[in-house]
Amino acid sequence: MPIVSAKNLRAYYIVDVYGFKRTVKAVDDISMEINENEILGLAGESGCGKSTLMKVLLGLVIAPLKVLNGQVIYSFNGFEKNIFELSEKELENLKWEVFSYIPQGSMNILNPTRKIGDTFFDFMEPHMEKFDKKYVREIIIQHLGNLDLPAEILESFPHQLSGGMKQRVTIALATILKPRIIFADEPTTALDVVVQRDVIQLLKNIQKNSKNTIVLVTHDMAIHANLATRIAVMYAGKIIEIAQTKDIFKNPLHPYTKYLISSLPKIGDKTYKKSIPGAPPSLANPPEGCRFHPRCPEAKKECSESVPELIELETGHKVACFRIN
Amino acid sequence: MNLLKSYIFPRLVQWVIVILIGTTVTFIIPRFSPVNPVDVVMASLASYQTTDPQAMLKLKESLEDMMGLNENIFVQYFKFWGRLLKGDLGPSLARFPIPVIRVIGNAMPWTISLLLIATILGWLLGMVLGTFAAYYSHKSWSKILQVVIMALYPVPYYVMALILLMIFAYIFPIFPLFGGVGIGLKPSLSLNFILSVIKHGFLPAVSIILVSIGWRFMSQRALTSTLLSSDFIVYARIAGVRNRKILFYLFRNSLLPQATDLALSLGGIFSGALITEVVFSYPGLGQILYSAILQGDYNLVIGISVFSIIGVATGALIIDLLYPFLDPRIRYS
Repeated sequence: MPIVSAKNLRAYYIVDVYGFKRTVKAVDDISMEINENEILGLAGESGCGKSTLMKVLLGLVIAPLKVLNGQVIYSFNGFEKNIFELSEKELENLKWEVFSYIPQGSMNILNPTRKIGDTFFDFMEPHMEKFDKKYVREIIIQHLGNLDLPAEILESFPHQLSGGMKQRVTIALATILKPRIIFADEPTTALDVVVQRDVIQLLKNIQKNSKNTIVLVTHDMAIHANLATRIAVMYAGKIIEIAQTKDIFKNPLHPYTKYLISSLPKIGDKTYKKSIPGAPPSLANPPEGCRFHPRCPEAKKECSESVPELIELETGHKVACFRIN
Repeated sequence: MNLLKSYIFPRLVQWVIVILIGTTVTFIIPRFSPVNPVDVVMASLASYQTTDPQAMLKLKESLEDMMGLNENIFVQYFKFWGRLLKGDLGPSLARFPIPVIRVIGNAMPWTISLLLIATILGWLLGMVLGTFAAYYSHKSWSKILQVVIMALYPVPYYVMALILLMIFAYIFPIFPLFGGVGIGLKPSLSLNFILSVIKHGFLPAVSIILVSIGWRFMSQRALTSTLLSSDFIVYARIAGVRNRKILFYLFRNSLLPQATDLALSLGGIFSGALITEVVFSYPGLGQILYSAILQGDYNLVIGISVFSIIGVATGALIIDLLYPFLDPRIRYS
């Protein structure tokens, strides 16, 4: 049984200003499963709905985002519930203990007027039955030690830390209660490559040590190649291909995935990289049928008429394309 | 030591310069006013009796001599500083020969106790209500509160004072109509005296608080709404950090601009709340300043202004020195 399974998720941004209704179909009929002890990468270009999908999986649905259809079921240790049907209290209990979240742009997510240590206390307090500062402090210091972070940072203010350090503190903050699933939204953006490597290594170590699940959103295929065990490729609000990392890179099936992989530079390869013709569709008004068909070099008549299903071809390799099926 | 040299010392110099310039300006301005204290005294004398013009001229000369107004303005200016540094602000010209310092000393405690309490209470209430109203903006009580405060905000404070006076002193005589304390009561630490002071100060204080709360409430609500969409608050809320902690985060992070404003308005209380004091016949500095301006009482105007300048400059100095404690991002090297 997967730890999280999403069924027929449909989440739109619906803005209604003075009767002008605008709907952005950011997550459109997505079903997926997240297993225990894996790093699932969500890949896709900017604006394809990766972050929105992650927010919906987290139950973080804030207007104008609306979930129109589908369910996200969390199941572990006999607990099996749809996240949208939880009471506020139940959801509070799940947060940080069962799943936690590393948001996009972690630069400003620490309170500028609070010492890092106090921020840790604030985040842990609601989940502690008995809040003994001394004991909690020891837990924090041990956790920081495991992540190779110095205990002195607890006495620092966020502005005294570098960007990379802040990102690592954020990761420490998100993993302090040893959650089963960590949702990381672009954890490496705005960092230089050396720090990126540290952050990737950090996430890898956390996953290795506590055998939890990481869901990683990034547009950077190189990071996926390094970190993810399975990759889901999104295009215009839909998952178009999902497979083991190795299979995605060795044997991409969907034309979009092929383009994506062939666009990656390789050492020694000096050939001209082709870009995908056309531009990404607007999610407010996506094309009929397969959403990639206007840009697809292999499109058939069928592609513009009906939507291809995500079908399992080989074990664990699913793809949504008429040409393959 | 380094802190003293690089941070405290320049600010002290700045403080002295502000006081110097401010005092000089207040010394000059009343002397350009068309009202002359000598003429005021003469006019009041002439309205009772007719006097020989020669005697009037002599009287004018001796009055000018007595008030020190017959000398060159520069000489007056330097003499003024010489006296000021000794703590002597000269005699009141309209209440000659009572020293200005005593006139101010009599009125100061009334004004300060009223305005200090009203300003701090107004600030605190505005801050707390503004933060809560923004945090719970979807709740109905928050919406009602907003409408009520928005409605109070544009009311001129003298109108507010008059309405309060009419309702609570005239129609329902709960509070006294005028004065700072009951007639015949001598200043003492007795319960009777203190209760009387509170009773007399209540309506003036409420009229100031009700009006000053509007601006504070709205600015705090705006600051809080901006903070609510900032990354660290959103993240803390996602993580399920307790409500009271988040309210504290909001309060703490909006403190810097609001504390600055509080310090400046605290400095400003030394010039009194003119119209409030007039409406309630409250024996404070505002009343005295008003009559001093009408009577051309240079010394008294200058005296009150000097206190006000020192008050504002000191308020700004203190808040400047406190910034590092309010916001850890501010450090001086």
